[in-house]
Amino acid sequence: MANVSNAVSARPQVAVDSPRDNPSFLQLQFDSPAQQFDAAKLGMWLLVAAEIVMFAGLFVAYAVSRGTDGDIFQQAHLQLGRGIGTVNTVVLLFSSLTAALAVSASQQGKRNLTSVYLAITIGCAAVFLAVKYFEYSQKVQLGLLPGRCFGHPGFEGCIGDAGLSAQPVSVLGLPVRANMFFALYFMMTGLHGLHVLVGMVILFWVLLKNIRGGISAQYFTPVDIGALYWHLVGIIWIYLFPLLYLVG
Amino acid sequence: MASEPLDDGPVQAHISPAKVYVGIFAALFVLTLLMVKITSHDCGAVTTVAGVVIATLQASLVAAFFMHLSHGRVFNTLTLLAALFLLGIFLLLTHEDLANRGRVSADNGTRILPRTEEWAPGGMSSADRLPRLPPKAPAL
Repeated sequence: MANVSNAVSARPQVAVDSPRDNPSFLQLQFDSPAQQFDAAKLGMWLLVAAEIVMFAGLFVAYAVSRGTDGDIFQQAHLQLGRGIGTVNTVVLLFSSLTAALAVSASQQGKRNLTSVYLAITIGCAAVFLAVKYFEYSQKVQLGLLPGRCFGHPGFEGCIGDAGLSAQPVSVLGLPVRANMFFALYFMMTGLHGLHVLVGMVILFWVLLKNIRGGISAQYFTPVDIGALYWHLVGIIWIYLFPLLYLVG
Repeated sequence: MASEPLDDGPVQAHISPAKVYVGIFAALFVLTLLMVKITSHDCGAVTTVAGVVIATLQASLVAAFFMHLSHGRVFNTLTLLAALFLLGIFLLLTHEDLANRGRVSADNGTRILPRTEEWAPGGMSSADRLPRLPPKAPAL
């Protein structure tokens, strides 16, 4: 029993909190800003892992379909523009650069510079989505949207006159089963596009917080975490681009 | 790898100079052009492997520098590797399943293994729903 009481009394005394040790951004469940930062980072990395596993389902579906219909994928992927895909890739990589620079600026307490970099990142995301919109609408016009409208040139024409019994027909000289490629294309880039949209909202929220003075060299966690999400979006696109646009 | 930051006190973040980030972007840009160039010649599976290898190089650069893994906690890197490990299991087991699944023999309608043409045990596949041919009369 004596040992126990010794152990209790041997605990180091916690110093009385001073404003310097206990800043306003420190949540009460954390001992120190460093601990809070590490917890936030780890939480974000767990989300990144979950996102990778979610996209893994689509990548495996792609691998299986391509394993059975390699020739059809090869033909179908020529419908995607290499040039426009390259432009979008560079835009996204550049936005990753500005996101990383935003973190760097916020770490140094350069508030205005952080805002500028965040705004450029959001702008690049908007350019990416605009290019994607034009790509999608062109594909839909050609009749490449999977489903019962696949193979109907002019998207509007197929509504109403093509029932469930209608047989899909070849479009642009593509084999009928090319719809698998376009199903995967729309699904993978669509889910990725959704992530771009979410990333824009997150970065906009961080930008507002920064403008209002909620970010400092001592507390730049929101910028760091937001940028982590944005880099994840970039990494997924790094794989989508060659698999869909370049090698089919 | 640099030593791990302290887990107490103020946040000790590693601040890389801006030119490091610009250099990484330049490398990513060159790798993108290289990828486009290489894949413009269709060499079958080699092209695909080249594309994925270059993409992995790019993703590693982004993860190590833009996402600060090279100066952050090792545990964060382990989290990422764990996700990639799960992806690997997913891909490998799916491949194993597809490579070893039986198919319906055109000769007698039983399910056989594609490699050895022996009777395939168990399992359901879409091939089972194909119309089965009547068994051939044995050659005399």
